[in-house]
Amino acid sequence: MRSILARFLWVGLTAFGAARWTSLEAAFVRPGLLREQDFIRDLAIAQTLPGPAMVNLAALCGMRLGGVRVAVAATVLVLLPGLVAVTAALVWLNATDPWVARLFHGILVGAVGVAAASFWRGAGRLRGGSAPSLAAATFLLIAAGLPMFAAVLGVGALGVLRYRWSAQTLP
Amino acid sequence: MSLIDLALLFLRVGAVSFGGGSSVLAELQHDLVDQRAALTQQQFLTAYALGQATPGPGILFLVPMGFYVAGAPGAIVALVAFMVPPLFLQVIVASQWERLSRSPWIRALDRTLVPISVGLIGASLHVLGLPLLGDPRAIIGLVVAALIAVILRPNPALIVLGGGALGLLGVL
Repeated sequence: MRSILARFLWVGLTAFGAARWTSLEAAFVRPGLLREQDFIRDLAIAQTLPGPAMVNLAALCGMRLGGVRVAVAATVLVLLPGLVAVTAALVWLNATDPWVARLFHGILVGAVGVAAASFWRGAGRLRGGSAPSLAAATFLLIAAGLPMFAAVLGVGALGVLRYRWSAQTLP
Repeated sequence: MSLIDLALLFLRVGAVSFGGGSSVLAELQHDLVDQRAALTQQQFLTAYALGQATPGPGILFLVPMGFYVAGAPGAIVALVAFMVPPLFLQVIVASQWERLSRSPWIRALDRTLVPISVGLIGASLHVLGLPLLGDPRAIIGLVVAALIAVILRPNPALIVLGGGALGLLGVL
């Protein structure tokens, strides 16, 4: 059990950037601790639900490996290294110091560039007339100041009806 | 802003954070910066930068946001409140997934969530990119970073930390 928990900690320490869930695959599926079909099923759930897919998936992997207690431990352990780093930065770095401000500004520019690339790839995968319209509606409603909860519920209801209806009318 | 208000805000955004933690940035900016003035624009951007420069899940920007609003208790409340709805939903959904995934309504919902998450990420990008628009060097840096990410596909951490290094050198 200690080695499983150490693997979750290692994932939290080494997962950076997009598709962080691949670190969990490397830690648990490749060594044979989890079956690939179970992992793929859990990935589908983690990506469907709200919240960060990596934490969702870590909890589901933990659930499979040792029940609720390991799921809770997995959640804490994948968050822990980043939490320590963020806390240390908050304590030791003064954001108003010109050097620190320049560092954070540069990080921000890089991070926004990465987010733009992620948006570009995600938008490129939208197919048909409805999906881009739903994405645009979500964006415009939020940009216009509508609370996110209302925008997601409203657009979500429209989308579900649209796709449910199109499934019924397929030949 | 009280800890209860902070908890309610992060519970609310956590419940609809489809597409990952970064999808909620527009709502957080709207609430914490524009409406309540609990954070300055600079603190908001610094918190995001800090969260992206650390390992682990991409939601750790919530911690400095909570910290800037209400100190250490705020940091804990922000993270825990954000995580509760997704984890609670998982317990329910995971146990029912075999049955749920066969429902045409759930399949329709699954198809709907993809464009919604793209729209949410777009809204977050809008919020993050807007303050950089007045700075030509930042715009060039942003475009170069995005092109590198799309074309070369390195580990995104390299781009983020590379941006930090260029910032330190005064290039950005």
